[in-house]
Amino acid sequence: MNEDSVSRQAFRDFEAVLDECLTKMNRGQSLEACVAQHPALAEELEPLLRMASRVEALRQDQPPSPVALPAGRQRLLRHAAVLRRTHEDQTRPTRIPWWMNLQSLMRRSMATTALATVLLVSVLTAGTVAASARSLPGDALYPVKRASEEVQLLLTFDRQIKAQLVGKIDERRREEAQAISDGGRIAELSFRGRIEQMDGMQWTVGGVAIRTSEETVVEGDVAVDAFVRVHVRSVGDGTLLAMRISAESEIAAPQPTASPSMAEPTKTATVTPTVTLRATEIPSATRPAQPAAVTPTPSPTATSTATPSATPTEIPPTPPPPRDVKVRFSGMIETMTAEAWTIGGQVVTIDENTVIDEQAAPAAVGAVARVIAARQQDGTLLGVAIIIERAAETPEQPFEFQGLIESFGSAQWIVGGHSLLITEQTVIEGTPQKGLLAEVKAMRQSDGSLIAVRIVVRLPTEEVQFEGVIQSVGDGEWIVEGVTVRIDAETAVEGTATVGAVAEVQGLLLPDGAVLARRIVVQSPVMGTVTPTTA
Amino acid sequence: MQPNEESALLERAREYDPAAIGEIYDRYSVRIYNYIYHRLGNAHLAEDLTAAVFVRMLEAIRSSKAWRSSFSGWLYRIAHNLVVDYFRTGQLDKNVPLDDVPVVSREHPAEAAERALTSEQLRRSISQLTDAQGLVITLKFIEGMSNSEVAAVIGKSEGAVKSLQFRGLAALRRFIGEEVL
Repeated sequence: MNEDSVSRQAFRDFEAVLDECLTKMNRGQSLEACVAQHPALAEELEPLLRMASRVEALRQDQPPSPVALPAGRQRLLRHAAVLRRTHEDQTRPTRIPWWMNLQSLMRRSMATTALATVLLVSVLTAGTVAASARSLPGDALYPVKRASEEVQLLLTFDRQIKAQLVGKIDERRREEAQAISDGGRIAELSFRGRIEQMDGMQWTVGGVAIRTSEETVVEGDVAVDAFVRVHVRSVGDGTLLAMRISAESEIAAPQPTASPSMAEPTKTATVTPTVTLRATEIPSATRPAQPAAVTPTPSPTATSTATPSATPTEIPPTPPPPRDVKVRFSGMIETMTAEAWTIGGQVVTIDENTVIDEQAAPAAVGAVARVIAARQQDGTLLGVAIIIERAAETPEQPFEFQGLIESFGSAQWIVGGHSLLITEQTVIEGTPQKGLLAEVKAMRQSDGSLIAVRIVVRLPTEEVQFEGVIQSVGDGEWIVEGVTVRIDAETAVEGTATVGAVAEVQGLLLPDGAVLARRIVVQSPVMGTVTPTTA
Repeated sequence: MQPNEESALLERAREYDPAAIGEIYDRYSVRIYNYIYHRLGNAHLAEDLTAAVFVRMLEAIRSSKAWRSSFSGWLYRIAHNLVVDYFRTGQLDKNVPLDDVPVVSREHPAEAAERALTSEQLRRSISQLTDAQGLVITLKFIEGMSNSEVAAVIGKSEGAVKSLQFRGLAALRRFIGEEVL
């Protein structure tokens, strides 16, 4: 064995002795007694043991009960939602079909429109277009359906025929809305039609039943018989929830429906007809609010029964839709992603300029927020400011842990640093004793407090026996030879407890290093007598 | 928690499953908070850094090398590194706010102040240890873990724990000297 290996072995031996002493001290033996057992190592051993005791003393500084951890949890979950969205965006193959890119190309300029149109017509087979006819928003072929409609409008130059086409497309949108509703699908879409009925919150537009709410944004003069565009959200139970209803000139070309699978909304400004015809002749004297337009293919409403006029009237161009209409509403935050939140059923786009005011409460799913948003030309809402007014109500959450009993009372226990509220329903198994291990099942309340459901007190199994001088005799707790000895109702004490007397202790080693005494024999009382009391 | 359960939970957390992430937070946040509190002695800081630990966990959880043998050990290492960073960047106020120091009953205020300053010195010294030494010293002597528990957390043998414990205590003795002992 060379010098290095001797040195390494010596280190290992010293490490073992140090660990042995630390273990003994943890069980109550005094530092001096431990050092005395290793006189040859005392000089090196003692300062390290003192240092360990000093570090252990930091444990006395019990942390206050954390109050901000529930808020940290909310922030973590929000962060997770953002990361999940980013991850999905990175890993998900692009959902924009190539023909959608063509649509985008078509929108960019009139010069490219013609080229895109030719390309679209030439590359889409008749079968694909035909197969798309029955598709609904969200279906893979739905963009084909919409693209083919746009091509049709682009290639239709006759005003009367174009007006008929616009009417057919309007009707198609309404049929789609009804099909989405009947099928219980979840989607957002828009359609146009005449208001036929306004019965409280329940309206009928172009034969389609919709439900309005206090959050529904209504723009323009909206009344029975008015022609409107309706943005609805099908919530999956057959209900079409109106998010926005705006008065619109019937002559305006239909805007594309916002499809869930569409990456960006389609704009049809390039195909908006400026002149159209109206089937129903309505004297301007009696219907001043209606445009003096005539269309040969009206929407399927009560007003569409008249004979088409043979003398179409040219009407002025449609005024552009209002820009950046400010919308204010309140609601519960239903979903949150990095790009959009759903609040009170309305999707609000979030960008870097959106002000999120969390002074009153943190933003989280379930929180109530007041929203100021700008209505974009495509109908979407861009968040200007979102003020969180009320925090989400966190439901009770189960929480299980193990820990040492630090204190226990009729109403409150502290176990492993957790404060537990004890109720009449709390089931307690075993006899509590400070220092014993407890298994806890609790329910975390919305305010972060824990209500104990079940506490199982575990008795230690390691038995110890030692002899030493009684250093103190307290209320349910003695110190014998530096070891904390706990006394309970089951402890048998023989002799009279006296400081300075020698006692033989038999008991169970508690996890905190103290001993739960089962039997104590006091051997030689010398000084004044103190009668022990139980905890 | 059984290893299989933890493995399944972490697999879900890797996909940013909110229920799994919430469960991990519930299981570990108090332990991490207590650990950081004992290292810093400041509850507000401990709460802030606890939040930072879990954000870092979230950002790194997809990495296959994020943790090798022990998830809780990985969390403790993140916490340890944050505490060390905090000391290194000097963000911790050198003047210990006495209001934040719990005064032991019947302890004279002057003694409490002296104890606080000594504790602060000790905490700073622990942060000067190597990562492994600092973790072992904190987990064993402040968190009260056994050698086997510490070994499981840091992913080393009990023999290695004993060795790190010896070296850590010896290093602390060198850093602090005898005056506080």
